[in-house]
Amino acid sequence: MKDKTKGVKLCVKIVCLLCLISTSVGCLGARETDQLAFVLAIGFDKAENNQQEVTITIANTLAFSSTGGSGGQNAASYETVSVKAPSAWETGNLFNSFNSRELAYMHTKVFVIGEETAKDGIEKYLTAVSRFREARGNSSLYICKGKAKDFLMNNKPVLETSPAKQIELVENTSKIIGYFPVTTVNNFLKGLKDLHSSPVAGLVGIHKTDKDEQVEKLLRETTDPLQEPYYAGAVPRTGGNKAEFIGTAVFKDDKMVGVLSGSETRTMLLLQGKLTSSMYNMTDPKHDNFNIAINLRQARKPEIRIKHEADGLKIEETVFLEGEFVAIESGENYEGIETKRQLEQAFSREVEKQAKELIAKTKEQNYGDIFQYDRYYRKELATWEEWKNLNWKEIYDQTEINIICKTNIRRPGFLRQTLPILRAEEK
Amino acid sequence: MVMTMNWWKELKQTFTYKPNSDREGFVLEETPEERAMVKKDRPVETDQAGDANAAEEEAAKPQPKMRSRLKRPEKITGRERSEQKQTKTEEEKKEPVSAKEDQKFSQKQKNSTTDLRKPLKMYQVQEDQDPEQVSPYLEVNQKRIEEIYDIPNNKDFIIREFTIAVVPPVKAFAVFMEGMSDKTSINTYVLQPLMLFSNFQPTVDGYLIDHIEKRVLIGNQVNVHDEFEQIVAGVNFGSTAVFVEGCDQALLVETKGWEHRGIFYPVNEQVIRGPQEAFSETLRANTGLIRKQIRSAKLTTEMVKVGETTHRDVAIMYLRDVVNPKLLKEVKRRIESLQVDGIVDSGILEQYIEERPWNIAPQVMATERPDRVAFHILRGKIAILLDGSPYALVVPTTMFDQLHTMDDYFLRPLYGTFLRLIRTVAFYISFLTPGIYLAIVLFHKEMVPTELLLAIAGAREKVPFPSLVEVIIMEVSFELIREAGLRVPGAVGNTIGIVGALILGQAAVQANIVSPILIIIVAVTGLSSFAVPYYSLQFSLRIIRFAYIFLGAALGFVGIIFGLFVQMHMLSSLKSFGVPYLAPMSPTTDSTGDVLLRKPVFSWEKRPDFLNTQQERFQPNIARGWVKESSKRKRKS
Repeated sequence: MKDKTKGVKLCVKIVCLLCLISTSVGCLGARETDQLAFVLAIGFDKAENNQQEVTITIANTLAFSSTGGSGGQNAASYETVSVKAPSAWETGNLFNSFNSRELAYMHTKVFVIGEETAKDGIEKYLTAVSRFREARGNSSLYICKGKAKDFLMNNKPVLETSPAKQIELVENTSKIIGYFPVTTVNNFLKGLKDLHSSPVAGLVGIHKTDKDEQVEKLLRETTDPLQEPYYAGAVPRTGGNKAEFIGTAVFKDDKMVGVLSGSETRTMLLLQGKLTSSMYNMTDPKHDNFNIAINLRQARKPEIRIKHEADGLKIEETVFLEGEFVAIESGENYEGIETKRQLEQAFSREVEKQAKELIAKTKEQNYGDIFQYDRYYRKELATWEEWKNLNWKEIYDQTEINIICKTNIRRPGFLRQTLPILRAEEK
Repeated sequence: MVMTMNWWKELKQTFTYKPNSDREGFVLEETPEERAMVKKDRPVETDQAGDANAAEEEAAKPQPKMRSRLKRPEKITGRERSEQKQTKTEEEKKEPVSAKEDQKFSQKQKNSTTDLRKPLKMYQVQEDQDPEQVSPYLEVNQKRIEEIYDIPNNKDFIIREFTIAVVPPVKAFAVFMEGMSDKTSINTYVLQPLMLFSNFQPTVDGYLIDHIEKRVLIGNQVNVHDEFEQIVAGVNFGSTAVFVEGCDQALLVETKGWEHRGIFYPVNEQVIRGPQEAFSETLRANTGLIRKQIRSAKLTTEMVKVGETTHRDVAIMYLRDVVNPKLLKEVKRRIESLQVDGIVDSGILEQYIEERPWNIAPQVMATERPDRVAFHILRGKIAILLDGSPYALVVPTTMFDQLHTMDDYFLRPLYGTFLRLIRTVAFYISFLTPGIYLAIVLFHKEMVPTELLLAIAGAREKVPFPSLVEVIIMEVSFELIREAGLRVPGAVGNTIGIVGALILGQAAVQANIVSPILIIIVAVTGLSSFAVPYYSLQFSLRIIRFAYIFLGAALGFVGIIFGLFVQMHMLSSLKSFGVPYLAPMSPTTDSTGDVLLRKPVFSWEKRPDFLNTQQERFQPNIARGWVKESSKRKRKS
């Protein structure tokens, strides 16, 4: 008798537990993969009549199926569509008017914002993105020279099947060449909240096929191989994917105020301590018509000292570069101890000169502190109130910033010593 | 009425003189059972004893066995009685007895055996005879044997009648079981000596049964029994019983011999390195295999009979100076307490002695490897072997024991550790993978790299079922392949695997019933579950896997974690013969640390602490004597 009641009780318990499980929220959250359309990239643009235009790239999963059959691999692996609406969030609904599947933003790799929109301020987009459960804070954020719609529509990765992989791999190249910074939504928002330094974002653009005056002008003016004055959309080239990733968009608060070129971006990353490695080209100090290529990486974090001196605040930053020769066109024996030191010093001066120019540009163009020196100034202050009321931009503009570059070329590459090749005329 | 009769008989009994050697010496109180027995015996006594000689009467009367034991502790009771009975029957039959014997007996019993009686009629004897005891009348015995074995209906038991070639010739018959006994042994060690060689010394010196046992039968194990129970037990196990006319005892000659499998390779627990022999169905061969590994007088084999009908031997083997006595007591208590009709295999025995039949984890480890049993016995565990079962049970067991193989120990520590880590991975994969796959695909798509997700989604694009159904279809068909592969007749068996893999895998994918990624998942899961070495553990993981599939599909990772939580509690609360199932990890007990990793052999200093063995040490701190010496030398120099 007792056992029977016990058994009944147990059954009741089990049934209750099963009910609990089945009513759990988990059930409602399940989505089959074929119910969803995975959004890989989103672009925000300002359209005419105060409208918003949102462009999305959706992965076509059918193209990823390996089991042959009908239309499997032949189908395009992604599809880009755009919709206009008074609100950017309204477009989400409109997409489903022609799209059969629920949009899923969990694999959105990149948010691209058009130049025009960025100049109006992008905070409203980013806070929405970081609020939304599905979107990822570590998605990349890029500012497009021109319209984001054009970028997404014309971005046709050649080597990869989908823009998702393209973005992942392109960001890897940033670590090798350092011509554009990788910014994520989270990083950007963090930069915004830092109060004083200016956030930056990577610059992307679409290659223009027709001859651009600006590009022509840049080509004519550029003589120093250390300079890389191009930015996205203006790289002199032929062929390949139209999308370009080079340069930096500089923000003041959440509004875009300017653009840095490739080499300026590299210098910025160097001073920020975020440069992984890059190939530097410079004119041979001894032979004007020859170049030298050096592959360098940031050996250590930069050392930044803030000094209060009689004539005002001074910031002294030391950056360390280490690397190896890639090319010495002139055949000069730079591998020797003394010659190498001379070259290193000449190169360091060049880098310091570039850095000075960039700092001067930020002050001149009123960009503010893009190097995040305010982090080091923070320890000078005692309270949050002081920090909040600090007019860092003014201080930055007046501060003398000294950059010291220490270069150490450690390896000559496979050629240990360059000797001149005997030529017929010389005999 | 009956009461008064009994009372009167008892009273009469007290007045009647009866020289009863049984009641000489000290007298113990009668137990109620004995009293009942005595009562039962009385009528026989009174009928016969009316005019007959008291001593003769005493001899003819069936003895209450227990009493005789109690009363005459210093005498070999069976022999004594047999002598008396023998003389009695001989005299009754009025057969010429050999001179010597006759003389001896006549001297001894001259005054008592004055008048001879007529031989009793068959039916009379049968009436008087205690059916449990061997009768001096050959015919009675034969009748009794035929009754016990239902001869001639029962064709397995054969009665061979013959005459023993002594002077004078004595009739006898042999009973043996066809199939369990060795025919050559019977011919050469039973019939040949009795019918031919007994002729070498035809005069019987002493008692006939003695003579036959000591001088005629040349078998290595010959026992004398006077109870049918023992004789029948012997015959059932292949011995040959020889009944001799005039002897109220029978000879049991060991002639066991049946068709059995020899010692063969281990089929289900293969190792690359190590002994390649497995237990077979013969208990004695199995215990021998273990003894071959542990050649110690300390290794004890206790025998317990199990099964009211089957009478199977269960051997309990342990090292008596190591094993925890409480554990031994518990093992014996459980086995001895079994009241079952029959146990056919150690698998059934296992279910009778485990403590939580409804817990999914196996609590007794079965193995077919003698080296493994020996290894565990050395560590202080107990092996239980059932006759006729090629698997030995090792108790207590922990989950980690079940995840180990002998290869781990036989190979060098690094290799063994590698194997164990692989198996640890396999252990988790074998029950978690399908559940985690479902959780990821349904709930946590952001967890996998984009390209992988797109590949999964692309593969699933043409599949018309929800992923849960898809997984269940595949899992069930995999279980079908497994079960069918096991059950189909040998010749077809090999093809089933191929057919299953090819047809189900390839065709299902081509028909868009399942996605290719799922095939990989199911295949990896299946492989992993085969990598779990203990079959019962494999089984438990296979079942748990389905629970995780449903949890993963219903609740995602929350469900998986929930399942792990419950499973962990189920396992950690489990005990196998008093030892926590997850020892020595939970609870953490002192051990050689030989659980997840495999320490080198010279670090196995202690026996597992959770066994509470009598001897804690397995080997001294420095097991390799040579290391000590060489290091000493180093220090001096």
